Amino acid sequence: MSRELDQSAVVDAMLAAAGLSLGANEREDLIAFYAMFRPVVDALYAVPEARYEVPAFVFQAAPKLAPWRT
Amino acid sequence: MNDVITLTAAATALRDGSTTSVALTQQALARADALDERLGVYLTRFDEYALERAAIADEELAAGVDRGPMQGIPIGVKDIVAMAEGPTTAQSLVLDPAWGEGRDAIVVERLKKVGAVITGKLTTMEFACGIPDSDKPFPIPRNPWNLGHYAGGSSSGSGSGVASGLVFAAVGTDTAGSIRLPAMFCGVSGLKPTFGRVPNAGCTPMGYSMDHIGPLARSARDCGAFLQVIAGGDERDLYAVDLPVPDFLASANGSLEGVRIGVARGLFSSGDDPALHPIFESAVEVLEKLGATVVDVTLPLYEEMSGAAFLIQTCEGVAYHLPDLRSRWGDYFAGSRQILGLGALFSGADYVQAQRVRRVAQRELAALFTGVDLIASLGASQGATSLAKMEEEGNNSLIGVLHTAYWNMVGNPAIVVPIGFNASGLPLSLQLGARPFEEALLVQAGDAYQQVTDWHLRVPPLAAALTTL
Repeated sequence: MSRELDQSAVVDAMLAAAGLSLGANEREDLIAFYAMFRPVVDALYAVPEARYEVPAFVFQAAPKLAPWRT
Repeated sequence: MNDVITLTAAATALRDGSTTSVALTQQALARADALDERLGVYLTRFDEYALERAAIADEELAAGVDRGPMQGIPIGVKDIVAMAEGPTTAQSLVLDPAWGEGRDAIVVERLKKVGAVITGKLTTMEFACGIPDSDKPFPIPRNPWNLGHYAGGSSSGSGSGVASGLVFAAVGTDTAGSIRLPAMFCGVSGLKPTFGRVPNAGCTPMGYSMDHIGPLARSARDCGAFLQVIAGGDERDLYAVDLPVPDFLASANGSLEGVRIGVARGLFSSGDDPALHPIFESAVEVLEKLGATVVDVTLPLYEEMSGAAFLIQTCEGVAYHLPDLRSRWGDYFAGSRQILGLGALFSGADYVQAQRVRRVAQRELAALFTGVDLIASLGASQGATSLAKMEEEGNNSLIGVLHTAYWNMVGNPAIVVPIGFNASGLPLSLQLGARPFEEALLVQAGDAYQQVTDWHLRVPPLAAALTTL
């Protein structure tokens, strides 16, 4: 019960922080999906080989500076 | 339907005088007239422009100006990719028309330069995300093998258009499977290149670190010819890699002697289409007969990558869409809202952790590729999903169906080719993955398979029923 309340609280707080306002049905669907998916995300923190790994993105100090669209 | 149905066969026919680009284009447009209302392939057609370009192609070929196999070939462009001749909508009420107005994406520039005949902008899922929404004023892309089933997405019109002969090939994009799924569902070939092989500039983003532009076409050889034109670095694209572009068809000699193929049967599930496993094994046997050595492999961190893929693309997507989601929530498709809304629920740390685990998967997959040259697996566990099921279940209707996002996460190239049909007459496919920048080996393997099979040449009955002009 408390975990379900936590999931709802997280979803509501994150949606509010993002400035998003959903209808009741969409909110319930999102809570259900988040509850299903959160353990998947948590499992990423448990991958031992990732403990000292660097992220798969690289900031370039001298990037290409000719954008397709300004 | 005309005997000439592959891009490369059409290119040969143009050069031996047995057809013209104008004739090919007229046929393609006539098929669109006959079928598109049922199929939902096009958002915008450029009939006059296409016929003008076809005439130019014919003049040039007659004058000995040969720009390569894409010259004079009718093709389509997914409508998240900008083209100056018409609007880019991303199949959404939300995209600012000014974004792509009067501009060509880099891939479109390159296709125009070689004389490809672009017939129009093709249907997609909204911003390459989600599923069809019957409440929105856009065509529902239908599967040409069964109109009550999904064409696959998000490059829906690209897959359906190629399968039904409205175009010989099409530009698609792939963030978690959106070239490969419509190719699989529609029974054609689809190639997701290596991340960075093809510049993305001029394409609306779904997942910045996961988006790939690539071709859908009848055959692997066609895909190779198409990729030859669009590949290569560009100073206007931050992610495009400045590596020499090899000849993607150079090793397509019909043989797989010396090629080591790892088969990832761990993706098999008891819920898979009953026809799929025997058909998959038959396809693997064909690859062995072509000279390949086959061993069992396991894709490292598969479950972790599947979860991380969803997290990364939704976070990257919501960053792009947040201002519009705030002000125009209801204008988005229901399926898009759900996916993008999820992206708002994860933390920055979650996103970074997903990118860290991604790096681990890259390392372990690279180690696996020291013992094999290709990895064969399922790309989808089912034939095309029914539209009724999608209407009822929404995004959930595709959960467990796709085995594509792994290759977006690691960035390696992957190709899908048709290998048969299920009991309902819907296409089934094989997926092959390769090392980074080894698209030529994927083309070689797909082409070798297709030189001894004909699944890629099968035509949906509603298209086959059309008489040749």
